Amino acid sequence: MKRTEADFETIYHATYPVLSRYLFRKTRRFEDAQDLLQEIYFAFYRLYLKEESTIENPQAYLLRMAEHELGRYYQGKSQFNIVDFDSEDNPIEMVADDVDLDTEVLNHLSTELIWQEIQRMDEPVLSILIARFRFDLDYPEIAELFAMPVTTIKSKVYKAINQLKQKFNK
Amino acid sequence: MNKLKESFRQNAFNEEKTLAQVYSRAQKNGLKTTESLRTKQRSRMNLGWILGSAAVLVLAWMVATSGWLPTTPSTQVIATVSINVNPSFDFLVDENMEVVEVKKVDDDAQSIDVTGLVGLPIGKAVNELIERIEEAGYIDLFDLTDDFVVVTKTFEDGTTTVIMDRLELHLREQIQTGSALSRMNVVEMKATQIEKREADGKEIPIGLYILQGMVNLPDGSVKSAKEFFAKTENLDRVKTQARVRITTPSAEKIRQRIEDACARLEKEGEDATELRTRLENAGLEEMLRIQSEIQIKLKATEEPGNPDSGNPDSGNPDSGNLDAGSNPEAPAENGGANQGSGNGDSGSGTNGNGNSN
Repeated sequence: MKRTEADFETIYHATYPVLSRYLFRKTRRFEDAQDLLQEIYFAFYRLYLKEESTIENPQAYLLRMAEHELGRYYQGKSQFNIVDFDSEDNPIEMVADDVDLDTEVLNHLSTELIWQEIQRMDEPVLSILIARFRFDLDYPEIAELFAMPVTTIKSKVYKAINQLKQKFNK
Repeated sequence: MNKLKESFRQNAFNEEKTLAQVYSRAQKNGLKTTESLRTKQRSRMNLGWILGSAAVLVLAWMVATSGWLPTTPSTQVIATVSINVNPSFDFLVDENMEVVEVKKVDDDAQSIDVTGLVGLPIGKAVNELIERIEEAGYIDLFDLTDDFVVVTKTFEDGTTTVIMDRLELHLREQIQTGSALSRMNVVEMKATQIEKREADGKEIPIGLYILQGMVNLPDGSVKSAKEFFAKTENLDRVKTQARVRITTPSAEKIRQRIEDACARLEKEGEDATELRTRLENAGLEEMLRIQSEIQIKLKATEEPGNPDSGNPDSGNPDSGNLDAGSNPEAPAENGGANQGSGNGDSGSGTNGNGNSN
């Protein structure tokens, strides 16, 4: 039976959450993971619509493609050494994961405006925020991912959010 | 959702934007014509077109309901998706992955309203059904007990691999993100038509029929998935079966239900501070330990006069808990998706050896 774009979209929507998380975890960099994601789905699209291609399990297939892409990505990159230019942070002790960051002040702004400011932030802060607010990882998980103490991660999130609030409070 | 989170959801890893970028590249590379850029462009219909379509639909409805046309669906059934929780159902699915018929398989199913499930995509229909089963009180997705649903797919002869994949993916999407399914342990299997006929002949839901065969139980000795998986040895045995794929709730969902349970404990006058502190930095194994402790405490508060209320067996960490193991993120999943490459996370807590044959 001929494969259609509707088939591709079904696969795309079913696999996107897993693949995006996977790439983000492996690269720990938002921009890189997004680029790789697009690259992989484009290659998959091209292959999938060819009738003669055999893809028995699309998710497993996509993950294998991701591994190949990551292999290429790692070559010549030293992204595993996360450079933390902000190591002078004064960590905030014992802050609960669900503590209210009091972001109400941002609620009157458009999401685009908020994003404009967020994407100006440096790495690894930007990716830490994405781990927290896009992928809903908790602080211990983020700490493990970025190989930093939990307190440092919490501190970075607080600092970034406060910076954002101050920006719009002016 | 507050604006901050919304902003992240709309701009970081936005599914629709990435899809549009993929299509745009495909177009630039001559893989896709402008006309076939179907995303969202279809929705830009003018008002005249919408009104015209509405008029045609109304006319078609009037003709159909007046008895001028046959009302039986012309679509072809490609698979039966059987659901067993305690009530059991069969969904007949067509090639568009939509439900064309829902059959109530056992007595418990008779009390569940299945109105509105026909016509839904299969994944959503299953998720909706689980919500209704919960409303009817057969399961509680927010308590500390593991709930199981057995999903068995029986494909019609001649169904292509592409169609099978589409069905798998429709279900998988809901297993990972569905409001009810993502909170459950989902046991997936494929059945042959012979097995299905045998099970129907013996009036045993197909999922349980196969599971019982796996652990050599006499026919009919197990009445529900919950009862079956309450026995740790049954679960362990099933986990080793190649045809089974088990997906457990994500660590986040388990954390949520433990937090709910802590709140219940506090409501009963118990101090849950220490448990909450431990939960804050707990990995999955520690979470399951905390869960067991809370189960014991909750049982004790429910039955204060009962000398057995502190029975450690009641909170046995093994009792029904899958070793959701070490999966720190999306629902722990195994099997077909792993096809040699893992499931997307080195920390995956998969069970069993599912495949996608």
